Amino acid sequence: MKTLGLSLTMVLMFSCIEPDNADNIKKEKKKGEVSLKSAQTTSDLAIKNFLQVNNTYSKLTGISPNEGDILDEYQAIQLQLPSSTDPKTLNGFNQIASTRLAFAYCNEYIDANEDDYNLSSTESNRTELISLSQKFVDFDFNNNNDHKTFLTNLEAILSDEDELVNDANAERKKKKLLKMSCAAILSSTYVTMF
Amino acid sequence: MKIKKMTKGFFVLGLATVSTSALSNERDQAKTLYSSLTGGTANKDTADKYEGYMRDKKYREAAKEIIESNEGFYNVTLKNFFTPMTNEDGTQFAPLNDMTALLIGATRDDIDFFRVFWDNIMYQFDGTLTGANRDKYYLEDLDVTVPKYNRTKNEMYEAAENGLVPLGNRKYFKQTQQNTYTTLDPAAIAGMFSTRGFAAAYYPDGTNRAAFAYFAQNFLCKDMAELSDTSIPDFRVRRDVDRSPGGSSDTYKTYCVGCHAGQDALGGAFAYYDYVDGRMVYGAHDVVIDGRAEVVGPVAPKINANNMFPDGKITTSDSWINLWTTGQNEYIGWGSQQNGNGAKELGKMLAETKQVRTCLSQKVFETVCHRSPTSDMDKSIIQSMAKQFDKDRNMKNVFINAAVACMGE
Repeated sequence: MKTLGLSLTMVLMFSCIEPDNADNIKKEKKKGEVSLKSAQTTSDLAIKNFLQVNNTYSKLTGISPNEGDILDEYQAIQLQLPSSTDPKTLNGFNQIASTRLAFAYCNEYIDANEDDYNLSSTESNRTELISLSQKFVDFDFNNNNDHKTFLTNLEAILSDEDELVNDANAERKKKKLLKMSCAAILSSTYVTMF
Repeated sequence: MKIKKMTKGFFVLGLATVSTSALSNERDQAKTLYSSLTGGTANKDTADKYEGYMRDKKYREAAKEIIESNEGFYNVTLKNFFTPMTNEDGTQFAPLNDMTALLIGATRDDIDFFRVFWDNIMYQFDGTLTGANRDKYYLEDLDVTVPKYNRTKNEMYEAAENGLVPLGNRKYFKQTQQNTYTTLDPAAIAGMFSTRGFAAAYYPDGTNRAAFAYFAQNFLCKDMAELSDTSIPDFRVRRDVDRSPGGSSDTYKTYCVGCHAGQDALGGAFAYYDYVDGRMVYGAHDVVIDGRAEVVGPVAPKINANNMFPDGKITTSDSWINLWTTGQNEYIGWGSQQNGNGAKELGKMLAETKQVRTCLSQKVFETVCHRSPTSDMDKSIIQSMAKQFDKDRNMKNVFINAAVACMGE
């Protein structure tokens, strides 16, 4: 699980699913600064703190925070999760901790729901990813370009051929990749930010 | 995308309607309302469910349903909101305790929230008595066991929190009285001021000045430096305050007295309280004199222990006077009672103080809307919220009003 977690962290760091948004955020705030009226009405950004992240993951997956290894993982990384909702305090440790916790939940979630997926085939990957994604986030894959890009990145994860996950057992491989996809969604800013 | 959207404040209290830009749609409104109240993320099903409410303009109905159908509001949003008020560090990394429970419970039950400053109420977990010594409660539906309330330990609340007991559960999380739980002395009872959680945070060591200082910070949104008024007479400044710090009486006259004159006058209310060996002590204090254990009181010995200025005030009772009702702090809108005895009477005065409404409204706004109120519009929203809070005294409505105001249009 730790190897997978590390692998997932690297996939997330290099796949850049969300960092694009950071520029958008900055640009929008700069736009707001030049117009007093706009500045007055733009809602500020906020990140979820440790309690909100844990509860959100639990609520979305339907997995109890006390299930399996989740509690141990949460207690181990609680202080590394965001302590404040102020986005200026967000750092790399927070993001890695969110990913680790997301993986703990996804490990339990996919195990508990593996019947929902055709593990012996890759043909239904896209449909399954859409279903998985919308269980967690209200994505609009038909009309929203950011969401479409996000889905493409998820598909890239699910078709990963990295030897860390490809152990010559197709079903086991897909299950691992589903867990990574799940964690990629949960640890994305779609979930960890307001 | 959610994080790109602009929001519009739509705020109806029967008092004010405020609107700004209009880039959000009903679905975004539903998702924002949900996340701001619960701290969670609205998935497709949740968005589908509440979008209809938005279309029908049933904002408050949606907010109420979100609150009652999701433990996130009580166990996350309110826990996050009140926990920093229960410790000097202001950290959210602190376990649930009887003070936090009181504040959350009073919010949940729509009672006059300001009773938390003085009344004989508290919140505990309840269930079927169990254990060899019948010292635990079994919360059957949740399969959780919690120890009974203990004046020297916080274990009931920590066990419930670890057991994920939903604080919205009225069957197991109930209002009760403080008698025989927080204290055996009825005179000590004063809402949150007599909870073990408050005592553990603000009565240990020192001279109990922290009790008012942190109340001011948490419920008046004022640091002591902001309340400092050197024009107030200093007849209540205690004798532990050096009148010539560093050999200069000017420092005392131009700086120290500004806080102490008013603070010590109000702080007399807490003179009988102490926190020793994990429990709150009131009125009867164990001391060792010449090697013999004795009980002294009612003033806690620590209050008069230091003598830097013999002619300073010697505390002999729990009387208090509010010397800040005139002058620069008059704007706080203090309750009408200007003097009294004990934390309960002080709490009643604070319960009628206008700034408490404004402060809590501002804190809720910042929590729910994720921004400080810098614009005139935001300040106007907060004033409307405070006005409504003064009228209905309902803390849950403060959250609902802020969430509706900041959900966009």
